[in-house]
Amino acid sequence: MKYSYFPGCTLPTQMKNFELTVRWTARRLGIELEELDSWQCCQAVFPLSTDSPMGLVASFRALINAHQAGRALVTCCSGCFHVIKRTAHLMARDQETRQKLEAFCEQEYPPEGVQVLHYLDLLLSSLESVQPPVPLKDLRVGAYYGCLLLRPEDELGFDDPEDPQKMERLVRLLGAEPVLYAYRTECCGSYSSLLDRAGAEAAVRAIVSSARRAGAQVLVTSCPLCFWNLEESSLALATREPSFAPLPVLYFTQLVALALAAPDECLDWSAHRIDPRPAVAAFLPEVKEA
Amino acid sequence: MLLSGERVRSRLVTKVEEMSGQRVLGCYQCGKCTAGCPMASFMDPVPHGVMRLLQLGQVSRAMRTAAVWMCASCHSCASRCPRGVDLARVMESLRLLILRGGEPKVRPEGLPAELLMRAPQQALVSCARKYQG
Ligand code: SF4
Ligand code: SF4
Repeated sequence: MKYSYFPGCTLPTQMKNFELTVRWTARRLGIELEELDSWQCCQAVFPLSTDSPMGLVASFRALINAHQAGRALVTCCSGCFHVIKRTAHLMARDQETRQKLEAFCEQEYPPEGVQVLHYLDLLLSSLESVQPPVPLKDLRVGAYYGCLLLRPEDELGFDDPEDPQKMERLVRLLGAEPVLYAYRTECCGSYSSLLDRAGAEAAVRAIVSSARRAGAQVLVTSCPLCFWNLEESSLALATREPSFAPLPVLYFTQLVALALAAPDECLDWSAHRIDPRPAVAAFLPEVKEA
Repeated sequence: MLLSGERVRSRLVTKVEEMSGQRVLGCYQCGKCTAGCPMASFMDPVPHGVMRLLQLGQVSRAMRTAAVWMCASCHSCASRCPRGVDLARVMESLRLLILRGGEPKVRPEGLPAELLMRAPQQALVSCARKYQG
């Protein structure tokens, strides 16, 4: 089955570690991702006021493009998933806004709606029948969900917002050990870190300390903004507070790539400022000396 | 003086309710939103305090709180409120009332160049959309 893939603005540029492992795992598992035609940035945040339909234009167009291609839309970034899925939910319920967008974009929204999927769900079903060649034995992984994947639940319908299980299931399928910790669904501070770092630093201190106390060796996320805040705030905290020990952060697709023995070229570590390699050394491909 | 909906209902409260789609008198001040808010310790008043100001018709005061800018739209409050109040939407309406008045909170060109180079697009676009309008 083919899917319309919506990469979003961040994966192909600053988070190649995410994008490369999305594409490689899809090829390896036979998940056909075809990049959506002429997509634009999803606008990053879902408009929370009733009178700002312009904030929905990009996701509205992406949904129509996917429909015209006759496929479900798949995305990997929590932000894109959040915005596009909520837009699809709104289009099914708010006729007035839908008509405004249709008039503005001069395109008709399909009455039957468009399915929006997160790549994690596709991986979960594909991996059920695959024995990972490099099981991530004894690796203790703290799944960090954050906000955008989970809330509001009635619109996103992804997982239980208070006790999600999907990433833990993925971790188990890869042969690693999921670690449950108190702050795995708490916010990382999101965009507020660009205005005032204090809030994000406090949030990240709580998240990382709680994961560490529970025994996690790495954190996994599906959100570039969480990735950024976790690294940026952890590094700032570590310089000021010698007792604070950061944890490396990986995208969930990187973990899958390791377990499926991805070649070295697909594993880009340059975006990581907290090097995860020591924590996953046992599962890295052997690099042949030239 | 007895407080009543009519007495405290200003034009601005009506505007906040229209923009957010929430009824401010729906909140019964249990504080659950604040208890789970990751940013509450950087807010004074805290989230349910902002709701209280709105209930008392004090929209301008609510608009001057740090809460409006520190709120990260994480939806913890909204997903736990026993009264079904979406406080994230209320915060957004307060932000928009300010931003639509013409004064952006952040101008991207005002951010440190080094941060602009390093921060992922998702962070910059979110920041611009939330703090510039
Ligand atoms: S949780 Fe809901 S009802 Fe309780 S104080 Fe907050 S907004 Fe009001
Ligand atoms: S949405 Fe805003 S007010 Fe509500 S819990 Fe999150 S940061 Fe606090």
